[in-house]
Parts: sequence; structure tokens; C-alpha cells
Amino acid sequence: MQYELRTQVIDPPRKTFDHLVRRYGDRPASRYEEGTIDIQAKENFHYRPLWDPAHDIYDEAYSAFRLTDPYSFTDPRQYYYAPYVTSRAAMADAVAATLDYLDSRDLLSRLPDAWSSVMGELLVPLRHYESGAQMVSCDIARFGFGTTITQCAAYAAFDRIGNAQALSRVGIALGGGTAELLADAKTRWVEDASLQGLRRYVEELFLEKDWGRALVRLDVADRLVYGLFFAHLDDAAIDQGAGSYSLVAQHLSSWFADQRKWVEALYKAWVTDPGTGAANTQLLAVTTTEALAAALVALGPVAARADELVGAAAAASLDATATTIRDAVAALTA
Amino acid sequence: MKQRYEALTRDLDWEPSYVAKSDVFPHTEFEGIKIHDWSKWEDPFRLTVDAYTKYQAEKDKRLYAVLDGFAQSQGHLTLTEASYLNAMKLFLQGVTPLEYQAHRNFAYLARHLNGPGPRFAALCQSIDEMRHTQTEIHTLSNYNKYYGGFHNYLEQHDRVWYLSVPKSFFDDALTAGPFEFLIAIGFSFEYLLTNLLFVPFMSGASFNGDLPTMTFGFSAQSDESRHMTLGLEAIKFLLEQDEANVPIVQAWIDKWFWRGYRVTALVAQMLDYMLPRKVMSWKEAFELYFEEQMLGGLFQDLAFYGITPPKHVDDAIAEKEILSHQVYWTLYQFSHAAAFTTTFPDADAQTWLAENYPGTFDKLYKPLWDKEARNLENGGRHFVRGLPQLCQVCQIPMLFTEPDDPTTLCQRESVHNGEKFQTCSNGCQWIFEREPEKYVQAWLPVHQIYQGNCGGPTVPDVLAWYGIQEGDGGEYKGSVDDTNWKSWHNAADHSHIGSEA
Amino acid sequence: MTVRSIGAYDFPSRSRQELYGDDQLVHLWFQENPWFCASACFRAPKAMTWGDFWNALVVPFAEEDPDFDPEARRVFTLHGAQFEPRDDQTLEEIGVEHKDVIGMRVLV
Repeated sequence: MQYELRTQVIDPPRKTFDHLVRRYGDRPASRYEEGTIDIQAKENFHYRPLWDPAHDIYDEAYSAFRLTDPYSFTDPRQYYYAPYVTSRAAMADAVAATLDYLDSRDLLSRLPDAWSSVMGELLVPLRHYESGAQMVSCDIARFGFGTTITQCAAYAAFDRIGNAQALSRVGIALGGGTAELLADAKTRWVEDASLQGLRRYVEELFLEKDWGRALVRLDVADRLVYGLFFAHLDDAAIDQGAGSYSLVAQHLSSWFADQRKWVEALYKAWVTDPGTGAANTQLLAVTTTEALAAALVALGPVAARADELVGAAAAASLDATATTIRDAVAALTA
Repeated sequence: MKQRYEALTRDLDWEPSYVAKSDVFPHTEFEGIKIHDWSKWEDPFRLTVDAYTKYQAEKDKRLYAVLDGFAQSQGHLTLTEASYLNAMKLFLQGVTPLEYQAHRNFAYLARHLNGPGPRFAALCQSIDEMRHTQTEIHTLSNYNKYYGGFHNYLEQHDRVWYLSVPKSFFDDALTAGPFEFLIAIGFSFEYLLTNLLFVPFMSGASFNGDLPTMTFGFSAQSDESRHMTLGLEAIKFLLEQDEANVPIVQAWIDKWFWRGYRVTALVAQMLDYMLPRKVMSWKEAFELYFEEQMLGGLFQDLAFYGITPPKHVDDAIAEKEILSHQVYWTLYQFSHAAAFTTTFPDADAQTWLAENYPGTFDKLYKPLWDKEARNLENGGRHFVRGLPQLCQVCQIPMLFTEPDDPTTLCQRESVHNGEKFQTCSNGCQWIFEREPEKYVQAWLPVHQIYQGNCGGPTVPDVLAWYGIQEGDGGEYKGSVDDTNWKSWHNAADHSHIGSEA
Repeated sequence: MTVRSIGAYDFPSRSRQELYGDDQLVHLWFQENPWFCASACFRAPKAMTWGDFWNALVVPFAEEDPDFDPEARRVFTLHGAQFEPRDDQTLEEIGVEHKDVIGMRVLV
């Protein structure tokens, strides 16, 4: 770059920081790169954690998944803080517009009763699932290795709280402006037979110490949950005249598409790593397969209850998603 | 509003029943803190995610517009002087990586605290800290293109001797339990010392034509006020939960006040010596931001809970008129091994120092500069030809003096497992002896150099390992920055540039 | 006092003598001379004689002070007591241990 100064041109002696020149060559760096690459401290940690003396402050041994170079993975969305919050502010505006619309036309109270039950019994309690996903994502944000990964996880954690709050708003709207339905949803999350498998899945996930495995286990459950609630039931709702369900579902569905971009990119980085790819592939296959079995057990009763309410072939849709996941695993190890 | 917030955020939690709660939150018992009711945590912000993202996106839009405009208009040429940027080099090398560390560990709190209220507050702070990391990098990135000292700040934070001071400080906090971290960073760093740490840099920026940094500072203010509120809420919550928490929290305040205060030594010399256009003296800043606001305000409130001012606070007060002089004298003679430059304080600067430190400058420090003036006349320039003794805890060269005698260096020694460990002060010795198992692990740069772990045995070997290039350190006069600055200013009339800013 | 931790918390010192082989770290404190902002830290063989320590390590360091006079009379202290080093004594014989601080004051 060159700057005209009436009579002189100043050539900047440097284009960017040394660590970026070493990695990418002598070219200007993007704000994503300057704000992300190599930021996590690398060496000469002074003390070991009092709560885990076996590890260093940042330690790749916190997971069996390894990248030879943690920065071989970058976020395909190139989110650093500013574009991240900008994108989420737009999403929040869209959610608010939908809720205002539903409210102004009193659309939620005009839902068919069965769909009203799907929302109250199954959808709104998912705010607790999102809250659990937030905790798991925070663990990845702290213990993951490399800023490109942990930054995605931190934003994902914040997203999950955002999702929980959006679902809460749906609950408040559905409850005629009161929080009653939220209290009811919490009781369902803790007590309803149809939701106990999912709650158990989340609680067991809290104990997963390996952040890479935690990420995969959460992603497997997410794919089933989001596939069921925000793709399959979205379609069914439209077919059955419950369009306002779909108006809500579109936002979570588009968030999940955004979320999966970085998760898929990380999987790809794991399995294509020249040094650790083979081991990562094995791990990813085994972890996904185990997680899928557990997640199907967890979500079977949820789908069954949805089918009882609206007869939407939810159970079959769960199986279809499972098949897609199994095929992806098979392709990995083929 | 409150009810809506509570419904949206707080009530998301539930009691696990398929696994033991103590396994879900395994880190909140070992420190001895007792929490009986997490719901008593008052979240003072009541921010929801949608409100947060909208507000923050708006702020960032404005900030990045300023950064872009400044870069496009060659705004760097309107700084008071290139030497001003030494303050920003220290900031990027020493402070920005700490923002990042805070980001990671607030994410840890957002996972590991048992209560949903504090977890959400910690998560907000975690991503705020990521914001500060990145906005600081992006703010200073433009200066890196034209000036030395910025280009290898990340590797230097992990390696260079004076940067082990802030790094070890934060590593200490990161390796502590979640409650100690809350007091160390949430309370001590973000509340007790935050004005002393950040305001001088940001005010220095506004006094010296650094519009981007000043804008960053303003833009971070509303985040910081949330962080301060969180820190205060944290300490009150711990103190109110159980009487037995009081002595534990008191000991953490004692430790983290002194730990953080020692890091501010770098700020003290920056205010008094590095800024071409001075803002206020360290003494004034210390009296206003610490003695008046904290001792006179905060600790009066905390007395209600049985909390007393930090243990070694009198030693800190006693050195407010000598600290900056001692530290700058040290950096002056070690800057050949640093990624910033130093220079002899000229007559105007010395007059300012004498006026602001009437009791100490002329008597104790002017004679040193007079001797250095003669040395310079004779073709010398004081650079130390070796390595200093470091404090085992704060890792600063052992330059501090006895609390009652500014002419005698303070030497404290403790023995642990038959090995001697020296500390620079009563505060650091007390910290060492409280947890010797922790501080024996310190990666002390001088000792590491002598073990051969820093690139090789000679000074050029070590400087190469630090990634220090010609012009990054040493004397400012005649340095690459100085030379460029003069040629850029002589070559063109740039008086129109940046005038609209 | 000792740390509170989850599990055993016991790490060797990163500055322990054995990391320096036959050498040790020795600090020299220039008392009453503020020209040197802090005590110097040297790595020196335990078997190094005082004469060699003085000529090879101390003098090149101290000469940076324009007022340095190698011939000046000096008082040395170790472990709180004065001592008069002879050039042929080794540091070990003098009693200097790893990371000791030797005080040095010029007699006016």
C-alpha cells in the first residue's frame, strides 16, 4: 500500500506482525488473522493449575483430537468479535420482528392445539438443552487448543444462551405474555418421561473432560435435535397449517447452518491433518458412532411424543438423520 | 425488566439428577469457599443477548470507522512524537495478551461456577475480553506498519524478561481456583487497580494525538464498567455467603493487591517518563485512583464485611514518590534488550519531574541523570553489561528499596526445600511464603538465559530469540523510529493531514 | 503455609542448582551505588577462584560505571557477615552457595 502525502510517498516498512509473515508470507493480513492467529500463549507457562496439576495452562493433552498445527483450522466465517456481534445483532432483529409479528396477529394462540402442545411441551423446554450446550461450549472455549477453535466455541456458547433466550421469548409469547409456560417447561424438562433421555445425555456430557469428544458428542445431538425440530417439524408444521411454528423455526435453523460451518471445517482439519489425520479419523468415527447411539436413545421418546401429538413421522426423520450421520462416518473410514 | 431478564436467563438452570452435582462442578470446593445459595448472586447488568449484540455492534462500527480513517489519513504523523509509541508498545506487548488470557478464563468461570447468574455474567465478560484483545490489536496494527517494537509482541510476551512480569501475574491467576480468579482478576485487577492500569494509557493517548487508542479506550469504557460491577458483586457475594469466606477473601485481596500493584510499576514509569506530553504524575494518579477512590471509598464499604485494606498497602503508599524514577532508571539501562526505546529526560522533562516530585527527584534521581549527562558527553550511554537479579514472585529486577530508606535496595530471602529464593519486598516475600510450591515453578528469564534456554549464551543470541530487530530497543535518539519520524516530517508539509479528526 | 489444590501439587524449582551443572548463580549487590539499579546475577563455577570471579565477571560488568575504581577498598558481606576474599579461594571455599547475594560496599 502507498500513501500520497502531497510531495512524498511513505512505504510502510511492515505489512503486518511477524507471526503472520512467518505463516502466510509477507502480505497484509486480514483483521480476522491479526485478531486470531497464534494469540493463545505457546510456551514458558509459569505455574501449573491448582485444580489440575497434571496439565499446563494451555495443553493439547486436554483432548485426544490433535492438530499438528492448531491454526491449520480457521473459521470459514472469519468471525472475529466485530463481525460476530454484527451478524448476531441482525439475527436478533429478525427474531424480534418475527415475535412482534406473531404477537400483533395473535398467531401463536391461533395455532392448532396439537402444535401448541409441541411448542409448549417439547420446543420451549429445549431452552434448557441450549443452556447445557452453552456450558459445554464454554469448556471448549477454555480448554480447546488454539484460538481459531476456542474463539468459535466462545461465540457458540454465547449463541446458545441467545437461542435459549429466543426460545424463552417464544414461551412467554405462547403463555400470553407471562412466564408461566417457562416454569411449566422447566418442570417438563426435569420430569416428563419424553425429555429425560435428552436431559440425561446433556448431564453426562458435562462430565466429558476431553473437549474434542465433548464437541463431537454435542454436535451429534445437535444434528438430531435441529434436524428434528427445525427442519422436519418445520415442514410438517407448514403442511398441517401451523405456519407460526415455522416462522420461529427458521431462525434456529439458519443459526444451526451457520454453527455447522465451523464444526464441519474443524472435522475436515482433523481428518486431513498430515500427521494426526489417521488417529483423528478413527477417534471421530468411534466418538460419533457412540454418541449417535446414545443420542438416538435420548431423542427417541421426544420424537415419539411429537408423533403422538402431530403424527408427523418424527421417529422416521430421526432415523433418516442418523443414517446421514452413519454414512458420513462410513465415508470417513472407507 | 428484572422479571423478564430472570425468566430469560437465570431460570435456565436445573438440578442434575443423572450425575452428581459435585462432578458437574468439580472445582468449586477445594478453595474452601462456602456458597449456600447461588441464586443470591445479583446480576447487575440484566443484559440479554439481543441487547448486548446490538449495542456492541454499534460501538464496533464507530470504532473501526475511526481506525480506518486514521490509517487512510496518515494520522500517525500527527502524534506528539514517535517516542510516544513506546507506551503503546508496552501496552500491546504487556497488556493485550492479558486481555486474551482473561477471555479464556472467564470462559472457564462460565463453565465452572455453579450458578447460572454468575456463569452468564462471566460469559459476557469472556467475549468482551476477546473484543478488547482484538480491538487493541487492530488499533495498534497500523502503527506496527510504520514503527518498531510492535511486530513480534506475541512471541515476546512468552519470552522477554520484562514481559514475564505481566505474564506471570496472569498465569498466577489462571492457575488459581475459580473463586480466587474472581478476586484476582474480577475484583483486584478489574476494580481495585483498573483505573491505575488503563486510564493512564488512554489519557496518555488523548494527550499525545493517538485518536485510535483514545477511541478504543472510550469504546471499552462501558464494557469495563460492567466488569467492575461484576468484580464488586463477586466479592460481596462471597462475603455474604459465609462468615468463613471472609479470611480467605481477605488473604486473596492482600495477595492480589500486591501482585497487581507490582505490575503497575510499568505504568508508573510510562506516565512520568515515556509520554512526550504528560497527563498527570504517577503520584497524582496513585493518590486519585487508589488512595482516594479505593482506600477512601471502596474499603470503607468493605469494612462492613470485616474486610480491611490490603496487607502491604502502606509499603505501596510509601513508595509513590520514588517508584517511577527507580523503574525508569532500570528500563533506561536495560532497553538495549527490550522492544521499546528509552532516552535521557531533557531539561523540560526534568523540570516537570522536579515540580511533581519536590521531595525526591532533585535529591535522589537528578544526581544519577547528571552523572549520565557527563557519561553521554564522554561518549557513553548507560546500558548494563549483564543480567539483573529478579524477584521470584513479581519477576521485576530487584530494584525496589527498603520502605523507610530509598537508598538501600530491599532484599528478602526465603528458603524452601533447601533452596534460597529472593523477593523484592515484604509483599512479594509474603506471597512466596504463602504458596512456595507455586512460585518455585516460576520461569525466571534471567535464570532461563543462564540455563541456555533462550537462544544461546550471548546477548545477540538472546535478542535474536526475542525477535528483536535493529531499532526496536536501545536509545530513542537516532533510532530507526526517530530517523523515520524526522524524515517523514521534513519531507512534506503534512499540516493538513488528520486535521479533520 | 501451603497451597490448596486438587491432587498432589509438588513441582521442582525451575531455578534449582542442578540445572547449572558445576556452576551456580551468584548475585552481587553494589551497595550504596545506585548507578546499578539492581544486584547483578552471574553464572559462575563453584570452583571458580575469587580472582577469576572478580576479573572475568565483576570487573567487565562494573566498568560500565564511569566512576568504577577496581583498586578501591571494599567491604564484602555474605550471609550477614563480612568476609575478606583471597584471590586464590574458590567461591565454594568462601562459602558462596547457589543464588547467594554477596554485598559489596566501597570504603570512602
